[in-house]
Amino acid sequence: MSEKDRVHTYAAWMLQDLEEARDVTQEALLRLWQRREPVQQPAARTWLVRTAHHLCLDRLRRRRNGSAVPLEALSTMLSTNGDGPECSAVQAELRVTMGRALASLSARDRAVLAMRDIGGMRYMEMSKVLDQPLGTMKVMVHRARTRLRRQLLQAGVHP
Amino acid sequence: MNEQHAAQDKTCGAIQIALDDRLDGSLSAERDDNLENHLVACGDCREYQEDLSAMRRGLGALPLLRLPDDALDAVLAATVEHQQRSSMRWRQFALKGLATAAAVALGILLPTMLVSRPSAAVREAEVDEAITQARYVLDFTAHALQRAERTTIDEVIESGVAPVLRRVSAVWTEMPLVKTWRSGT
Repeated sequence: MSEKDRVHTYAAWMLQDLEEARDVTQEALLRLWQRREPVQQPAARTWLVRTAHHLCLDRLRRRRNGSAVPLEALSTMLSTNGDGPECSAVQAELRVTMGRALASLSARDRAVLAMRDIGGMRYMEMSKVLDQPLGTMKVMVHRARTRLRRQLLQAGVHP
Repeated sequence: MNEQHAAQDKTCGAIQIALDDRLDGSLSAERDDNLENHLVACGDCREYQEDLSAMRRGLGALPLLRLPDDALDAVLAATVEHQQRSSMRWRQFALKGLATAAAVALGILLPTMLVSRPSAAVREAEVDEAITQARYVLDFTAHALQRAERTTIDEVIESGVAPVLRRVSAVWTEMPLVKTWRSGT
């Protein structure tokens, strides 16, 4: 997974909007280019996600209603821009259900699940992105997973 | 009964956190055994474990959302290349610095290590001799500088200033300042 796509995936799940995710990704990469001297590899990877995270939070704060993303946008996100083996209709529906449950969580819960369970980031990297101690990060992930499970059960879906 | 439920919930809460650790592969063997013992007796936690595993699989199966953008790919590639070159320059600089420091240290230490250490009395005599010689050299240098300075001034006066003065007026050569300078007083 290229860093560009990793950042884009993260931004997409935070914002649930592909156009905004593209803007955030562009902004983050351009900022990294501008700071290419002080920000060196391999810290650049964490720096990119951290920058994208803050850009996403800025956009979420600016949104007027802060309501859930329309289902059509989510379906578009999952079906037209996905990358992976062809999946059955059932799997596609499960993806949408999972995506909708994820979208209903708070930005903080989405952030930790997008980093950990979707993006596969390590706890140490996540703690640098969110400026939280390692122990706190684990608790945040546990709570986010618990809330996601609750959302799925409320939707009548047994994970 | 309520206390029992509260205690059990507290245990189940801790177990469910431990299940997260197990899923992340960070559970110790001892804690894993305790967890297994609890799961045997607790249906709620077994159900939580199954849900957690399924959720993890479901989230992991969500597609990677690629962003086709050649311009951004080029920006990222240029950034990485620049950072790698910069990192290499710093490494080379650091290596050169270390090599220089090692050479200087060897240059200072080796002669000291190779020369046998004389007795304290001999060392003191050598130091005194060195000081005396240094004073001679300094005195000689000071005298030489004075002579050179005086010679230079004489030459300037004779070749540059005096002829001008003579041409201007014969009286000027009799001026006390010039007479005094030429006589060296």
